[in-house]
Amino acid sequence: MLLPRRVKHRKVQRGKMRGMAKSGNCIHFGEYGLQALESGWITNRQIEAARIAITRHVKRGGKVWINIFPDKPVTEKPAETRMGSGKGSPEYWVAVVKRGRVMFELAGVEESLAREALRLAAHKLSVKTRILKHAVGGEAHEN
Amino acid sequence: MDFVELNVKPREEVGKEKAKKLRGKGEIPAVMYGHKAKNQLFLINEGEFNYLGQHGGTGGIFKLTMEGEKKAQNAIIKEIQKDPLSDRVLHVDFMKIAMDEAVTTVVSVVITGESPGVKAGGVLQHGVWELNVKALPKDLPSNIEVNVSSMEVGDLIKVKDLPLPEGVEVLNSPEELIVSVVPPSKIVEEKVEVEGVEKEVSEPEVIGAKETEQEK
Repeated sequence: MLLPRRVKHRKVQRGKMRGMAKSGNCIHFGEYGLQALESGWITNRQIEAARIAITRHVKRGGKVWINIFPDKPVTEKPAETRMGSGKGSPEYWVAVVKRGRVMFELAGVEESLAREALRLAAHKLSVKTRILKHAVGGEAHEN
Repeated sequence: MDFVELNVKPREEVGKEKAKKLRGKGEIPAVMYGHKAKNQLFLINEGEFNYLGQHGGTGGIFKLTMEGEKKAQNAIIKEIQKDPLSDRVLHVDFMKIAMDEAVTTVVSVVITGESPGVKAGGVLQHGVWELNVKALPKDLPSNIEVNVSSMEVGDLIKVKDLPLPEGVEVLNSPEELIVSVVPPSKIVEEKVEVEGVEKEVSEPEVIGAKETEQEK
């Protein structure tokens, strides 16, 4: 599973997810992409599950790019604990995804196979998504 | 390159609020600049422009005729701004051109043919999707075709290998990769993890934590 090697702070505040993704909102590497239509936190487990779903469906050939990285620690307090006594301990890692962000890219496979693989991956994520295709002229659009 | 005729309306409204209202009325704000001329602001009909986009007409040379004027001005599209979620066109930049002066623009790379390497199980990988080219407007190709019908596994086509039309100069590095056929990636057997039994994930190192401990 993805997680950072070194961090500046063990625990961080939650932050906001205002607006849309300014960068990474179009296909840069592959032929097909999975774009988030709403903002949210994607955990490293979800990213791993989506990656496995894609690679298992594609079986051989093809190349997958993961454009998000879970670099934000999320803390939780143990069950049945009274409030107070400081912040909980880090439990898992998330990637902050704003709407418009292309999270996964895929290349080197047929269109039907790529769409099915990305559809399966989308079911592992906690945000609404759509599939993009790299069109001639460098523009990505939904088909 | 094909010629595309487009009638446009001059506009005076600027700013995001006014642009938003214009978009609501089915107009796309646009600008034309270049060739030592003053910037010209105008509006394009959204339906007409989308029709051109769907039929591959946005890559050609535009003959823009302002409302109330008879003379058309030649221009090429420099940038199309789109909403990343709805794909709606928000703004278009045109660059005015003179037919006897070379222009620098971006041309798409189109793959043609079927590679025997792909049939044998290889994977076709793209390097660049677009090329920066310099040419006279009349010589500008609408796209550059790359034939992959002779590519076996391990073969690659670079910018220097491209058969270019006469009068067209590519500004990309000659060593830049256009397309390659690579052997299929091997399937890596994934370890089956038993539910409930999780591997202990070590926490990442905190930068500066060791130093503070040593100081104490």
